[in-house]
Amino acid sequence: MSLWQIILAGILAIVVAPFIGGLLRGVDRKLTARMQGRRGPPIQQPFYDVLKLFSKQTITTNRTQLVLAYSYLLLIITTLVLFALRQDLLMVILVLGVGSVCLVLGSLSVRSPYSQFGGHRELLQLLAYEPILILVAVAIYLKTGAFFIGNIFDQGEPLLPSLWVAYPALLITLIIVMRKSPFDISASEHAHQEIVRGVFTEYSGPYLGIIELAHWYEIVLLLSIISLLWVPGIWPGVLLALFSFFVVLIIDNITARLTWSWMLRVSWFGGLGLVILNLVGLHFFGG
Amino acid sequence: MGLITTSRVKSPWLLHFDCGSCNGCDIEILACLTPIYDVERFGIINIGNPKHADVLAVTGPANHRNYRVLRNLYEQMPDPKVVIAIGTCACTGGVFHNCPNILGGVDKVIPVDVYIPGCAVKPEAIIDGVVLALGKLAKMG
Amino acid sequence: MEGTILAIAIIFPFLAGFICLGLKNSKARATLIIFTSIVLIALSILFLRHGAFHYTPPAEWDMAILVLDYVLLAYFLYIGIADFISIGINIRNVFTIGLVLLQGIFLALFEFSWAPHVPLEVEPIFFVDQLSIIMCLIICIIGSLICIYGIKYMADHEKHLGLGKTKQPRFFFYMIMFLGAMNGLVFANSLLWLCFFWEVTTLCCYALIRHDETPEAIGSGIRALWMNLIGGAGFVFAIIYAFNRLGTLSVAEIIEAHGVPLLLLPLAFLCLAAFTKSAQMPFQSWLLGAMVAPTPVSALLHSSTMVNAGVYLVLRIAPAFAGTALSTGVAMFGGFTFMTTAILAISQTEAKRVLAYSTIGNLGLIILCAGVNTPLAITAGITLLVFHAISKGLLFLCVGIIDHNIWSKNIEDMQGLVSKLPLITTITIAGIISMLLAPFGVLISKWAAIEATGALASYWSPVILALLVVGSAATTVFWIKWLGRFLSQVPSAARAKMESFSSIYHIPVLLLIVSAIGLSIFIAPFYERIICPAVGGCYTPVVTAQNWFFWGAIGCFAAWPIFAVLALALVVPSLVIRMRPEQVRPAYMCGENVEAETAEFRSVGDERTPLETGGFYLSGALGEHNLNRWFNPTALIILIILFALVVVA
Repeated sequence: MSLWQIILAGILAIVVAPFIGGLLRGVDRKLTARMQGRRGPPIQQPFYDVLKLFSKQTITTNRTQLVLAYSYLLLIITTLVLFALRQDLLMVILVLGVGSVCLVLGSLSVRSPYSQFGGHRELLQLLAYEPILILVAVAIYLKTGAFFIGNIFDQGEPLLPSLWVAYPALLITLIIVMRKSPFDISASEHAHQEIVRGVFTEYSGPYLGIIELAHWYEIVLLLSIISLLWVPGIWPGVLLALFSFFVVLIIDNITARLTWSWMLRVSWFGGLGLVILNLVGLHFFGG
Repeated sequence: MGLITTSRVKSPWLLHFDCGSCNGCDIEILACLTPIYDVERFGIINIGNPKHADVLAVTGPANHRNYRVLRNLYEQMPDPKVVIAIGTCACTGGVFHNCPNILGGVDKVIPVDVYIPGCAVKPEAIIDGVVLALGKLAKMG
Repeated sequence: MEGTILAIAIIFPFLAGFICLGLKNSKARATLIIFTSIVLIALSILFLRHGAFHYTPPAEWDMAILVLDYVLLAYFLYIGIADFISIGINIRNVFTIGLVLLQGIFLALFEFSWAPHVPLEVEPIFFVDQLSIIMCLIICIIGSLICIYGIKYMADHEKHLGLGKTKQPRFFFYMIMFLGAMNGLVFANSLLWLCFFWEVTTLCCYALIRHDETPEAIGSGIRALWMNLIGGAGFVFAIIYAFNRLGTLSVAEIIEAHGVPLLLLPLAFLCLAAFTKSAQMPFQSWLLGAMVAPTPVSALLHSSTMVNAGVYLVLRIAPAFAGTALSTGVAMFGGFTFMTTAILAISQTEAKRVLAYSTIGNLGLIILCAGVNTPLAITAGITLLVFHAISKGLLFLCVGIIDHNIWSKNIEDMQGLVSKLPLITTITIAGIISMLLAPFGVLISKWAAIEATGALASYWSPVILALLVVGSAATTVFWIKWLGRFLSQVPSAARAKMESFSSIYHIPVLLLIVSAIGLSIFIAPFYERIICPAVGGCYTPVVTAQNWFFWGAIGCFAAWPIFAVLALALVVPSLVIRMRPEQVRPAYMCGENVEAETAEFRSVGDERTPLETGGFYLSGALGEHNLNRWFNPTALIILIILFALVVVA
């Protein structure tokens, strides 16, 4: 990659991605409101939210929380930058794990009942979706012969026709990462208050803003991974990612939150099972 | 208005605390969230956590048991914040203001910015009151 | 010269151990231990600089080893009979006596009637190559640090127990002798000599586990003994079959005879021996029971050294069964162990049991790599071996120090320890991170293992992969749960004060964590100088190190850029971010908090109630009693299928 391409990739990942992520969150709330027969907030609402959060007073329970909030943001940005620089897909997924771990540790570092609950449940979420992501990366490797995102991008034909069995598993992963029903068990969306805000309970003000920003980057990263499934050109992949986003919204609005054991069962036996089936199929029918 | 002030006004997150109310005003507050009044289009979210909230909406009178909780929640909210006393009981104690266990309105415990009288308060009046509170929030800078 | 350094590496620890047995003065013992450590560390570096060679000692040594082998077996028989006399007939002494007799009779039959001469000569006896040198470095350096740590640990341990007469001479006798036996094991090329050193390590293991002589310790010791004796019996059968089929007992020649039909049976028996030594499922209960031993024993034997002997053996004979059904079976077995132990560790509340399960799991991962048997997988296996030994030894030592400060090994009691014991807690946290997160060595090995298994052209690779990734995700859960417990503090702006520094306790752990971090940052040159020659012995290396990245054939791990990011993301904020006292708020407890700096709330009748937060252990769903009745039989079935495949194919 030339120097200009590297700089462009960096700018895309660091500067443009949060705007895309914020707009997607805005569209999410607008569409959800429309599905519920309301008018909903304007699309740029998430930006107002984050700016307001940054302007609030800093209060906290301990220093570790603050440090880990920054770590979470910086590591997720790194993951997106690595993706934009077309590095090894498996490495990107493993570094994403490091970022998620920082969020969990930040919430576990406070002796608060809701925070502890949220942190442990977030770990269970990680347990549910990380195997699926890693196996999807291997499935992409089996089909394309490459773990490098650069090489995957240069493929001549789309991957979705060979990986359609694994696609629902990716949807499950997207549901969990976007923190939508039925798997929003660690930080209930829409202010369901039985665990207050779970993982995010003890964060406030600017640091909550940092975590919200990191969440935007994370959504963009997951959607980028999904967009790899239809690679010649960028736009078919983007359309596929937006379509998946829309399907997740619909599922969010028609389901209620389930328990952690349901989430593990669906992710492992449903999601993981589908990906394994896909892998076996790739071995049998070539790829 | 600057960008920060606009954001504060466009994204007020509300913490609702029932101090001892008969729940009449609480039901009216929750009605504001329904599709008919839909306060989410103003960016208002009913958040359950004082650390995330900008607006504290209190119903019911303050008494000897809950004044501690009320002050605790108020102190856990980061600045800038506004307090809205919803309903006559929260404003002055209402029909209960001379009872032995009642301290009076909410302003006996925490500073109140907007008083909304009514028993129970109409959702339109609540929305009016919130808009007044947002005006105060904008001036807080 | 070569004979001399081999002799010092193997015999000197035995001598030092015997001298230690007679030393009553604790300062003299400490000096001897430190002296032995310096000698061993210098020796291992000498081996590294010298490079590969082979050597055969004079023929009298063959006779000596033969005799000593039977002496050892006789001692094991005596242990079994003594146990039978003291508690009557029981599974443990029946198995002990039975297995010793099995081993002894068949070995005697082989050596005295089936073998052409007594004693059987193998050329060469010792074969030193890069893989053995790596193992020797691990044994000598980490082992010595642990023995030095043990000096203060055992003194505190005996003071805490209020022992009248010290048992330290006997303790250090076995610990130091064990180092010599391990050196002999990794350098031995003759299966008979390997078997002898293998059994010496079993002896040390038994003696050290039962050191405290409580009924639980004695029971755990004997269980370790008979389970390892299963491996010993396997070894004897492997020797008999190998000689029968190939006419040789030299490991080097066995490896080169790849492709000879019916070679797989002796290899399968050697794998069985390795599985018992490394406490794989269903033999894991001896390692879990061994956690009652003092912490230096757990650190030395049960994480960095003895259990590594098993995986070392599998890695060494892996080229011999490459591409066969046995290889896939071994990979499946390793993967199954990795996944099940990771899940079982989630429900454990005792720190040492968590570490024990994690050890067994990582050894299973190394065995998986050996089973996948491609150059990338073997590279992953050897890298994991090195990094796991460092990090796990470090973690056991840290848990020992914490135990001697708070006198508890329960994770629930370690809540908020970062504010009470900041130095050791930070080191432990760094150790846990080095076991788990990118871009440290253990994770890079896992990344390489996933890529290697993905690239494996076999219909079973999706299943093996599934075991790998589920296990990997489960390890995140139990490590981070524990890490979170350390960090969970009461709201406060105060900075923690560092605890008192003890050189014997803290210097070994500091050295280990620095080497774990340093070797991970410099993993590319470390791989090129040290690990690549080990892989290159029998495979064509596929990993290269351009730009100091770790380039596998099909992917690349950019290690040092991610370290830079990690430093920026973790280290810089923790140095720069300041908190003022007026910014402290209490944790949210529905407004019923008492004050910010305590963790209390007002409950019924306005009573001040302390907040008690516990971790998730999920013991209802994922507890041992629930899962073991599925996991143990399944593991046994996989093992039986493994042997069936070998016999049938």
